[in-house]
Amino acid sequence: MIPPLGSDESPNLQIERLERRLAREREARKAAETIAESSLRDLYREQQRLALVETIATAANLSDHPDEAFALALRAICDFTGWRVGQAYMFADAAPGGPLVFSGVWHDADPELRREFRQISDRLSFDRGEGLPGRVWASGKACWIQDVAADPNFPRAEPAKRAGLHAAFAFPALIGEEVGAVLEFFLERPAPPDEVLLKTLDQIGAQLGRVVERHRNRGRTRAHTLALEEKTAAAEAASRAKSAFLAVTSHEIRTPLNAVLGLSQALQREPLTATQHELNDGVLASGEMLLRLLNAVLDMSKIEADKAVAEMGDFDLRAKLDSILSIWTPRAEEASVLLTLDADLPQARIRTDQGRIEQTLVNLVSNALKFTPAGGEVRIGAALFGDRLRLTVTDGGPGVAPEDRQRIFQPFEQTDAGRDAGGAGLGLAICAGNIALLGGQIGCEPADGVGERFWFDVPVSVAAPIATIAIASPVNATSNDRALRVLAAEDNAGNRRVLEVLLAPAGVELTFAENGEAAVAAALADSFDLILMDVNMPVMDGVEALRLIRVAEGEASHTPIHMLTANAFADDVARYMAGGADGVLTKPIQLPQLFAVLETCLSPVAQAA
Amino acid sequence: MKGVVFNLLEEAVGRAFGPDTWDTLIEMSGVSGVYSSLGNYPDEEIEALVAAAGQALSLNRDAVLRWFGVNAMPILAELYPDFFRAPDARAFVEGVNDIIHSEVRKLYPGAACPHFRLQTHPSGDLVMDYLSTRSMCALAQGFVEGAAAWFGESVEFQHTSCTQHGAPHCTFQIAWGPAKSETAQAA
Repeated sequence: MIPPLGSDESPNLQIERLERRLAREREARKAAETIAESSLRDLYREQQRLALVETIATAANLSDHPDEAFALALRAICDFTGWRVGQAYMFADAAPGGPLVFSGVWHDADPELRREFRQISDRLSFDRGEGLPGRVWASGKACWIQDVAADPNFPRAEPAKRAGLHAAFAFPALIGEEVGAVLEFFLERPAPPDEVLLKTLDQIGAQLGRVVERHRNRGRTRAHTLALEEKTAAAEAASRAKSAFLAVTSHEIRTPLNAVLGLSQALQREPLTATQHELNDGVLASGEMLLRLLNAVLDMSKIEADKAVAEMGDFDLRAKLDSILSIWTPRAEEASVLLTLDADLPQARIRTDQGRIEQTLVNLVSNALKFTPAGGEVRIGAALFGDRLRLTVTDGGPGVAPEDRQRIFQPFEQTDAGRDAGGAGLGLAICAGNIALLGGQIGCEPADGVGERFWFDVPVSVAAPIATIAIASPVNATSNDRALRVLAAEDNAGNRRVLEVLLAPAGVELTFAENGEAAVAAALADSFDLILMDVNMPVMDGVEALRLIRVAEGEASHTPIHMLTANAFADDVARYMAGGADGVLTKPIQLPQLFAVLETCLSPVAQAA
Repeated sequence: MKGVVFNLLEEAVGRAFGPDTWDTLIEMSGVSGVYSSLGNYPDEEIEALVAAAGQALSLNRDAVLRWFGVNAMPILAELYPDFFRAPDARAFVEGVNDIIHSEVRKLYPGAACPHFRLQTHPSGDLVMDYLSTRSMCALAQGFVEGAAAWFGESVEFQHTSCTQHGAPHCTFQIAWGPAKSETAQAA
């Protein structure tokens, strides 16, 4: 046991000892209070620090532009640290690679006093490693200068001295590891680095980096959008150029095609051997096919431009189907495919757009033959349900995947099989466009057993029963006492020859004019039963010639005038009719139509005779 | 060393020998004697106080530390009753790292608590490695024995290796049992 210390002490010694104990107790209490006060101060500062980080995090998350977040951060950090001046540096949007430039965002407890320093900061730019902002940029870390007056790498030392600024620190707004901006601060006296503050700045820097990153991404998105808009504009311009090209090409191709078809039709009337007829028929069929192709391309461009117009007419669907069957049978035989037609139709003409129905059906038949292997069968089906015509083409191919059934009717959308078969991806799109134009529906579905069934139905009206159409024959024309006098204005020698050949059997008295001016002169000088007026001619075009004849005095102004043109667009036709034309004949000239026009001119001649 | 340990020592000495004895130890050891539980004080001061007590009691350093550990335990139980909610002494000791010292660090930031590596010996005994720079393994032993007494259990504490005998760290092997009348109060 410890001996009972102090038990034999004198009272005085005992009092001294107790006083010492009391003094110790007091000192311990004072020490405890000091520690507690210091802890409270630390706690308060820590709360302030957290509030600062939170304020800046919120600002960084909510600000649309880095400037807003920087302004708030500069003020909050100055309030927290008691430092006087804060300035933000960024990379210019136009020069994201540097140098760092003053962002124009600053905070100053006494703005007037340091106007010069701010203006100089605004004028300078900082390369990597240069000055305080450049050093932060290079290191990616916060940087502290105890006194800028004594710092060898501080270009603004003199103006800083004049502004009474000494200690400085700066830290980066970081996007990952990359410096996106730099915030710098100044105090009016030298100060040693504050490690806790530097640590806090790291946290703040990461927060502020987010707003810079968002700003950058927005800039990139904007640039991307602009680039896309430019591309779209270029694509639209290209599309317009394509349409213009197609219109011109259409005219240029129709003109010689007119000659080919016309001469070939004329040749049919000559006494030819059977073989020669067959060869000529081949020329004619190919020429007609070329015309159909040309029309398909034009159709697609019109469908794409939403300019297609349905051209309604009465026709014998049964005959049309037979003709399609006979045209495609040789090709089917080549591929060892059986092509059959199963038509359940009344003996009646129907009214719809014959060209579009034919084109759609032919596209489907052509596709079906492509995808049906040798030994297979392609069936064309036709049926009329009330006022809806339904046509189907069933192939013997592999079928269409369910996910492709919608897609294949879009322009340039193909299945791999379609690409392999060498299609352009336009055929079904033209079909869909045609059928949509006619107010119908198109689709495909698996056929019973093998293959795919493509179908479309369109509303039609059933016209009068089929009657024999009397095509005006040359005999009719020549039965009159005198020949028809026809003036043909046509600049193209080939086409003049076609007209000559086509009209020769009709015994027409044909006068040619090689341009509009000559046509007007001829029309006024002589009297004609009919004027055929080409539209595109040198010197004066057909439309102007038409106008001049119509406004002329005398008999000539009443002469029937039919425009003769490869401009097959509906709005062109309307324009000619409005200009006083009696009709429009589309090149290549179809013989029945030409004779029909001649017939309308016969009666007055007969009466006159 | 945290001031709270000095306060604990003062309280233990005061309870056992009266407050005058603490005055004597302060004067014998030449330390300031001003200790606030929140403060930090040099380790030399606790060593000087232990040495003074050893001198007065003719005990070596380890014996004084062990006495301190045993006698500090009832005081700790009064100050921090929450730590003593463990079902038995073993559970209490096993919670030293995760429960006791983690709470100590909250109350006294910066406290350099020792770390104990725990495992169960094949015999079922608890094996503790004592990892500390202060070489106060005897204090740990006192705490373990004091805890057993508080929980009303007997304990067999073997100090199987010790840094004071050249081992890299101290290792204890501890077995608890029902109370024995003599061991309920250690020396």
